[in-house]
Amino acid sequence: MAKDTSTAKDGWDKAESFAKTLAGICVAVGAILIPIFVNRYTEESRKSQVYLQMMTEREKSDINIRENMFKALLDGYLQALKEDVKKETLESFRKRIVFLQLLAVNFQEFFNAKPLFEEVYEKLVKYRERVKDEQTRNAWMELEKKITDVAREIASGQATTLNTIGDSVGFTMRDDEVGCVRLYDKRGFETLRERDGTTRFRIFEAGECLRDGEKGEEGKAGTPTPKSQDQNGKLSLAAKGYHKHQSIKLRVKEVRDASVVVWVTVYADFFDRNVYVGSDRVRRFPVNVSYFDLPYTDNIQLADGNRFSLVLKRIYKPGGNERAEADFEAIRFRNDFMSLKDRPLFEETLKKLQQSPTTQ
Amino acid sequence: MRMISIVSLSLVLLAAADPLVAAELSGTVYNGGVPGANLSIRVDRSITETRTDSTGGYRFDLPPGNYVLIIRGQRFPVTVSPTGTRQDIRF
Repeated sequence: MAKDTSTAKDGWDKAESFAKTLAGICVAVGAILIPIFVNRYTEESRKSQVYLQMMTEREKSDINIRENMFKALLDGYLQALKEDVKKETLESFRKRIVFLQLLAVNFQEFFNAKPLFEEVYEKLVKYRERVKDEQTRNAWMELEKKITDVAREIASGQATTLNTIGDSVGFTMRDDEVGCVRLYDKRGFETLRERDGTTRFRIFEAGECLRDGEKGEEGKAGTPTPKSQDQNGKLSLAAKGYHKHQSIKLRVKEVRDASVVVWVTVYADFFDRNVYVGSDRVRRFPVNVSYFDLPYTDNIQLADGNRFSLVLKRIYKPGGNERAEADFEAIRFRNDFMSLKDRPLFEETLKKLQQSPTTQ
Repeated sequence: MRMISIVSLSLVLLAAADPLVAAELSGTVYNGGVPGANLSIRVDRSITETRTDSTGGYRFDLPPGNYVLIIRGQRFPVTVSPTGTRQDIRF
């Protein structure tokens, strides 16, 4: 009995000494490894801070330069306007177009140059119509072309940038024609089906957005459809918790020389899983889409938080019996992109931070 | 009987060689570098006309031969082969 007690005690002693040795080793390893991990974390954190500080400083100095540049350009433009108000010549308009181009190119994120562009364009048209000499008329026409080309080039550049964070579709419409653009997210678009469960949606189609049998589900013109219940007390589509996408109906009212008058109707399209169940008409409004509409500043916010812009690419007026045509690009893009003043820099910073090991 | 066989064979051969059997002419129209939807395309010297679909695609059924497609007054010559032709158009 005494022998058994002695053997058990011996076992416990061995276990105790092993535990003590293990604890000692752990303390030693911990003493070596913990400072290494802490140092590494601190170093990475310091690197991120330095990077952020550098970016902030760079942004600050960039903003100062741009502020001074903006002031100088706007002052220059207004000065030129003041001097030339009495003698509006071809040369003075050439100068204004250059100023406008500089303003629009360098401050396209926050400066809407449309009113200035339109004012100059309208004057060019007025002068061109006034002159009888063909050579002078051609010179005015050249300036009209120059100003529209400048605006189109800027709009095209902006559209290309927005396409990197959104979706777009290019299409042609004629006088008094109706078309429908599905402003749906490209991801999952292929899986969406019409009411029959088999027909796929097209991103653009000529004609109405709503099929004949769906007319009754629209709200009244210019008024939003009730969100929870319709007039008969029936639960509306919005309240039923269906997935919502948006589409726009465009009706071309008039194709002008540098703009197109379009009536836009915005619809909220509802889907039960991936099958279309109906639409609510959200709102209807007229838009004068011109070459001078720049998508960064001339865009419309959608109810789903995204934005869309209609860019006029080209106007074709064949004459005779043929109808005038206008080429558009409809772009849908993320709303947050527009609230950031210096987009490429911000996006770059975000990407770098996402790649940083401390944020993983 | 032999005469009937010869006539039948001739008819079959004639039908096979008939240039009026339609072949498909299709492709995509690029307007300023991107596919252009709802553009009007006309075949010269005929009433045949179509519109591009949402991806800029077009399709005609035409007898094999040479044709000119017209988009906004611009002319694009195409040759339709008996097995069908795919021709993209950029303007």
